[in-house]
Amino acid sequence: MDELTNVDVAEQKPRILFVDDEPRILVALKALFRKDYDVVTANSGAAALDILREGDVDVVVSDQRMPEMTGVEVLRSAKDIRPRAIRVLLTGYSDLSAILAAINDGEIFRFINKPWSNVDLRQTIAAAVKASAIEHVELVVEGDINEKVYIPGIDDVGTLILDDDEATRDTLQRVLGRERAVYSARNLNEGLEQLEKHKIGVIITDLVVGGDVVTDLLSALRQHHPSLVAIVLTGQSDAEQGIDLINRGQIYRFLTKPISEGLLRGSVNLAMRRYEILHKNPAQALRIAAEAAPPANDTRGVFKRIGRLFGLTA
Amino acid sequence: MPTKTIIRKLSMRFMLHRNKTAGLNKRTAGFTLQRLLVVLAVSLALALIVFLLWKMLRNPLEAGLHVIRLEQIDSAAKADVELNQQILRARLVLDSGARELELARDRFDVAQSSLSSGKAGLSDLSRDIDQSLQIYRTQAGDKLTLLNDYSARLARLAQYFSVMRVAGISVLNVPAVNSSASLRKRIMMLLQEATAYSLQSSPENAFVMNQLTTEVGEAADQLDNDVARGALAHLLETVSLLRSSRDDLQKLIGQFDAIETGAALQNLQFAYENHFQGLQDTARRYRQTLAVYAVALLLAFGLIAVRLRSSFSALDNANNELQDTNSNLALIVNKRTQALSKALDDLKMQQGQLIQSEKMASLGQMVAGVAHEINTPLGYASSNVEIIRESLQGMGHEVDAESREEFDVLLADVEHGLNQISELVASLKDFSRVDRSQSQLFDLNTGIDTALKVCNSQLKDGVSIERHFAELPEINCAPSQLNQVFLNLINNAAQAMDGKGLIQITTRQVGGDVEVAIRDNGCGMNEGTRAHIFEPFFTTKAVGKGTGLGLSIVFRIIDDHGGTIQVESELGKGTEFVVRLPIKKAGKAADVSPANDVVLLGE
Repeated sequence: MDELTNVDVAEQKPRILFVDDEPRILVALKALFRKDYDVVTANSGAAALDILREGDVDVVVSDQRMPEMTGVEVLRSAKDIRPRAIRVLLTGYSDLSAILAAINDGEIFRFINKPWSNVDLRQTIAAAVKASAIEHVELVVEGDINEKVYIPGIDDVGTLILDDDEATRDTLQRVLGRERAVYSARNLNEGLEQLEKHKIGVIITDLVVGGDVVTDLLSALRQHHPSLVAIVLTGQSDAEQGIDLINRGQIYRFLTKPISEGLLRGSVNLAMRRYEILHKNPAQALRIAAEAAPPANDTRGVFKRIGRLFGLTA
Repeated sequence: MPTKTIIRKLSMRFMLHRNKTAGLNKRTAGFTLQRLLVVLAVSLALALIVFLLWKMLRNPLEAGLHVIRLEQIDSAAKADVELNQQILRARLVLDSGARELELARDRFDVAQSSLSSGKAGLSDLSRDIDQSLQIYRTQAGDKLTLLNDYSARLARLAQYFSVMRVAGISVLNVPAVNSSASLRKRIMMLLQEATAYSLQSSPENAFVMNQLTTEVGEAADQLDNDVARGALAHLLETVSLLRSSRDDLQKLIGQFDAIETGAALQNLQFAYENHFQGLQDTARRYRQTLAVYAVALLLAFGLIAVRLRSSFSALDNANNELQDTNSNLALIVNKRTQALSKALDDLKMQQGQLIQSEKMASLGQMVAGVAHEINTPLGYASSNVEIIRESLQGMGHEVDAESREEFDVLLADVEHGLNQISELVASLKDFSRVDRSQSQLFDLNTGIDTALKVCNSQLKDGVSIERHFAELPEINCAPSQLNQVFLNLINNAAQAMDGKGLIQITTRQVGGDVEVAIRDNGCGMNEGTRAHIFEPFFTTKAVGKGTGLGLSIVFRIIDDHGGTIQVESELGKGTEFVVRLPIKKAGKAADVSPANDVVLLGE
């Protein structure tokens, strides 16, 4: 402990906690990052939580598959103990439920596959450290978030539903339309038109709309409109897409159909408050900065339009 | 439950069969009876017709007899008339006897006897005829008896006449008489009168004769010559005898008139003709009956013929129907057989695919678990190698150049090995594709172009690509996966050829499917290889050159898309892979988005 304090005082290195049940991974990661960061390791979830309780940590990087406690559970607890800490999942293989939990419960920053590339991992950790430098604004929830809640000033902005299924659009409009303005779009073009026309804080979208995966759209929106909060509501489920949505889309929630009305309303209410925070504190958006990978092929000129849209409005 | 149903059906069928058999028996019995009746009716009809024919055929015989009988009656009548004439004529012929009469008598006798005897006789034909015949015969007998008497008397008359003539001549030759002219004259007159009387008696004649007899008698009395008187007396006596004989004869002739043989004969003829008429009437009746019967029979036969015809046509129809049904049945059976064999083929294919899919699925689950376990050591190993390499670069002078070079080489080998492992695991992950599903509308032509771009570097200069792309509808699929499919297939095609060759890529729409054919003119493969190419870890490449997963991943992806992949190959000529994908994802798409239309829970 003393040693640690000395180092802190001396260099003020960002502190990174690596959690993995395989000690050799921890050795390798420590070897990789010890020069630049204050590296702390834990070989179980419980040990990691102990460390988190003892002192502040900037970034938590955890493996998913560990005995007794999974990585997502560790990160969820980390979010409660150290909300400011940026959470990253580093795993060899994970199923869809783990990915969904990582998004919805862990609100993780990145999802990294093993084996990793040292260069990429360094970049990701650097981005995470950078995000952690932004002071975290706590999202305060009063009352039951799943109930109908309308707060003037917060819920003034509209919600955009992007789905090619008419029944879904109608249902969402009916459920959400009682509390706030809801706009719906059948495809990306219509969605962009709605975004141009109205003030929209939350976008609820299917994973695939009109035959196009929305990841690229969300990624582009994240780049140009960081405060927009995205919820993916889909009947399809795809692990790769989920990972992509985390890393490039930084979506707020990944919901699967069918969904209970309470969960849906709660998720939207939370997203609205999230938008409010992001809107009022633009710097907060950096905490959820996505990978700025330019889209490989800009089909249908969607991204040019997004650029133009936010270039004009911003 | 189905077994029960089948048993019930079977038992019902059996009962039905039994019923049918019983009905058949009953029908057979009815059939025999009917047959018997028909035979009876036919024989009856034939007997009747034979009877009628016999009755009819008997008539001509009767007609022949009839003519003879009529002739006989006629000849009898003629004989009767002739006899009557001869009887009348006979008394006029006083000197030449009654020869003609004898002949007529004989003829009459023959005719009357032939009437009642012989085949053409009239006896025993009918009671009326027999009666008439009897009457006739009695009368004929009477007539013949009378005729005998008549003949005798006629002969006596002739005798008396000749006696009278002789007596007259002798009287006249008596001189006493001869001398007396008046006497002579009276005798002459008496003789004349007596002759006339014997020929044709009449009252004047008789009166004159009486007067003359008296005068001659008175004259004789005046004669004194005894001889003359005796002669005269003899003459007068003879004349008297002649006269009485003549009177007797006249009486007999009257008797002849009383015997009416002609009328009896007429009666007989009448009776016979009546009889014959009756016969003819009967025959006509029979003929009529026969005609009517024949007509009725004809009608009956016509009716039977019509019925036969109709039943034959019904049979024909039934037969035709049966044949139709037969051919239809054959057709249906054919169709069924075809459908069944197709279904069997489909089933076999599906079974094969299912086995393949099952293999893939279990492998996938294993891979999912193994991947994590491999990735973890892989993670630190490769990270560590990188770190060491960096550190080594930073070391500079502490290591001699030779050792450093050696380290570089060794580290590069370690990295190479680790890369191979990580590639293997990555493709295993791709292959297992747990928790992977996505679908979007995608043009396969674009996918093929992308794949060609990616593997362009691997295609050697000698390999040329021919694209035959048709306009394709966008299909619902996972583009990245299909890109991988095309990449794999194109790479395989390129590797199948020895540096030089042609790869033809053809796309087209076939009904509700999109078809991509990738054909190379490379080395091809044999049947043994072809059978295993979609199996995981099956490879023809040297160890370390290929994972043996490429085509099994391809198969898995296409299977997941509800499509098919087929391969045709000939050793030394080349290989063609044909991928078929449905435009609208069916079947497996259901578990990709199971709840797309159910949005909310608890509604």
